[in-house]
Amino acid sequence: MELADRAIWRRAMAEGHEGFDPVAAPRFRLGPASRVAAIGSCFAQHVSRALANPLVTEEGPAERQFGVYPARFGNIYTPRQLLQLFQRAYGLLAPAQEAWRCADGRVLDPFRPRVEPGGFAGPAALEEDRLRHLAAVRRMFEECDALVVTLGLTEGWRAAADGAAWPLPPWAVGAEDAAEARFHNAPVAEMRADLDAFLHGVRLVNPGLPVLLTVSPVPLVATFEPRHVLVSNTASKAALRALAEEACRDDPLLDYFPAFEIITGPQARGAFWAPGLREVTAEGVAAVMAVFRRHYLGDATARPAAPAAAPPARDAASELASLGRVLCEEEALDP
Amino acid sequence: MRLGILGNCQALGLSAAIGALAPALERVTVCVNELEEPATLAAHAEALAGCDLVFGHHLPLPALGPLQDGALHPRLRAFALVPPLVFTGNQPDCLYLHDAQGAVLPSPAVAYHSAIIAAGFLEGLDEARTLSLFNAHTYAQLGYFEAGAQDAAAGAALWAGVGLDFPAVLEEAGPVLMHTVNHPRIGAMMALARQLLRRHAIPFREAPAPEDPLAGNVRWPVHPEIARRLGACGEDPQFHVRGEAMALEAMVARSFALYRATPPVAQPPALQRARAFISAQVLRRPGARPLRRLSVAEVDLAYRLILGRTCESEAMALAHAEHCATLEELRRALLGSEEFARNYAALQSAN
Repeated sequence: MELADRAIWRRAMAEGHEGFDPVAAPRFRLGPASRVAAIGSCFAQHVSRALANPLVTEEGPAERQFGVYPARFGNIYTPRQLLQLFQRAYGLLAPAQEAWRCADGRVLDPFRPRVEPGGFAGPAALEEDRLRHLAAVRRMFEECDALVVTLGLTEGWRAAADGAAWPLPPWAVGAEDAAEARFHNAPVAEMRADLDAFLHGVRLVNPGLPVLLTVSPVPLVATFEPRHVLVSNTASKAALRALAEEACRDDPLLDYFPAFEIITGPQARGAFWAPGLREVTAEGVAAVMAVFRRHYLGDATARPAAPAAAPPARDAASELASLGRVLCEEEALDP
Repeated sequence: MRLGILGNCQALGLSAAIGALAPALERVTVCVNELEEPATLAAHAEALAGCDLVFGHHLPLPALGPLQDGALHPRLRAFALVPPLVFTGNQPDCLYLHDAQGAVLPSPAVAYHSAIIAAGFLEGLDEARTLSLFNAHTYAQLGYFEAGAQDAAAGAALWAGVGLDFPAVLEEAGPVLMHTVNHPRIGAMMALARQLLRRHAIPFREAPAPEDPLAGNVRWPVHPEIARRLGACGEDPQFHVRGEAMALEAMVARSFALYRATPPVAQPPALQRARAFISAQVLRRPGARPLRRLSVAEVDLAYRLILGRTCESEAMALAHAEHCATLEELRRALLGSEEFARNYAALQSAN
């Protein structure tokens, strides 16, 4: 049996990261007019910017984070958060606590505590915004032609009372009256059940919806397991990657895009990490998006690039400006 | 030519449509919902007996006296049976409910109720939570998106039996053809009128649709998610009840107020399915399982297993699917049938 070059490590990896393209056979392609919603962890925002026609169903001023996400839900780090976003939007989940109050009087939405700068004026304003927001979430799920979901974390925080999955623990945003939050590190089987339940639900409202999974290469900002953050990060990313692998095997409308491998694989030789080894450089994002465009967006001009003589010089100012536009709520865990 | 049009409230729309298409026809219109006194029944029967042809619904009700089928039909020169146009594909959540005495339960929309609202009330949800269930996921779980196709198949079989083409009426009427599940819009009546006139070789010419006699009664909205699937954008999302617009929020609040005074007793399968959905997926009660509308294939399989034959028609299979909330109910219905009793007795005697 003859193996393709890409299947043999020596041939597939030796050339380094320039022009590296690990995508073999995409299960679907998105046309220029396809309305694509990119959701998930902060890396999803890079995907969203690469799309020709990103779907945004909740419009408003950019300074209040409208347009950063398809609807203003903030980052969605875990499959449980994703499932509960769907359930809250469709009346299947009514969380026990719908608002957090801070010492300065601000009111926050526990499910998107950082999307409204300064918080909401009061519970009524939050409720009004939430109803509008969840209607926009429903429109997003129902009107998108494809969904790109970036899996970010396995570690998360849940309300002890009802299991509501919050992107941040209440103390990280100064909430004073929050119900007890419990740390939870989700196992693969639980995440698989959540992802399957989400996919089943979303395809009831949008039959045949293709979904592209990615795993965020961005490491954990902090771990709440009693161990080294690198060990936790490896465990989390491995679990998310296993989740994506198993889910895609069983679902022909689900595909995996290897952004994680492009950034973290040994062929990259660590070149895509910014100082601090957590942020992905602009070149790294560009490398990922070039492969994404080539295979999924039907861009005929995005052919595999010839190996470059040297990596482009790092433009720190523009890179930082670009990264600064990516909103990573998780950073509140490392004050 | 004198043409009689006899039937329920749909007779008014059909008569108006025929009048627009063939204005020279002399029409005698009898709507049995609007008969004022028993004394008028004989006069209406007499008028219909003087017609060259009567288009009429099946009316076996003894209370109609001389207008009921058995009494009237022998007196008519010619009669063409017209099935009432019933279609749930536009308003699949709309249904009738009954009180403890079996009387039709009044509703904020005259006599039409929402299965989701009634189920929300009966399962103990509050009004806001019930309101939140008006969405595409709930509709998908309750089979609302398939209701139109199922009704089209059932109607096709039923109408073919009297020489009429139900799919042609659906196609001509467009995606939104109903005010409620049994009140067609005038466009649908125009489509039916054309078909009837053609079939009976009565000349007509195209004309604009006349005023819709049922438009002033109840207009149940085609909920936006359903309208989108039907390719019918721009539908009014409000209820209209005898000239008054009513938002969904008000429909929920007024229905809850009514149910607090008179809870629904009889629970048709559509309500049972909505309750099961809420119990299993919204309240997540242990052991609760969603009910779904039975499929024609399941009904046919039950026929073959229990009665030893296939179901006689798709219309019959669809009727079972509509009236049995669960496979267990279907099983009980078939095991309790005279046919099964005969087969079983024959089997016993053979042994």
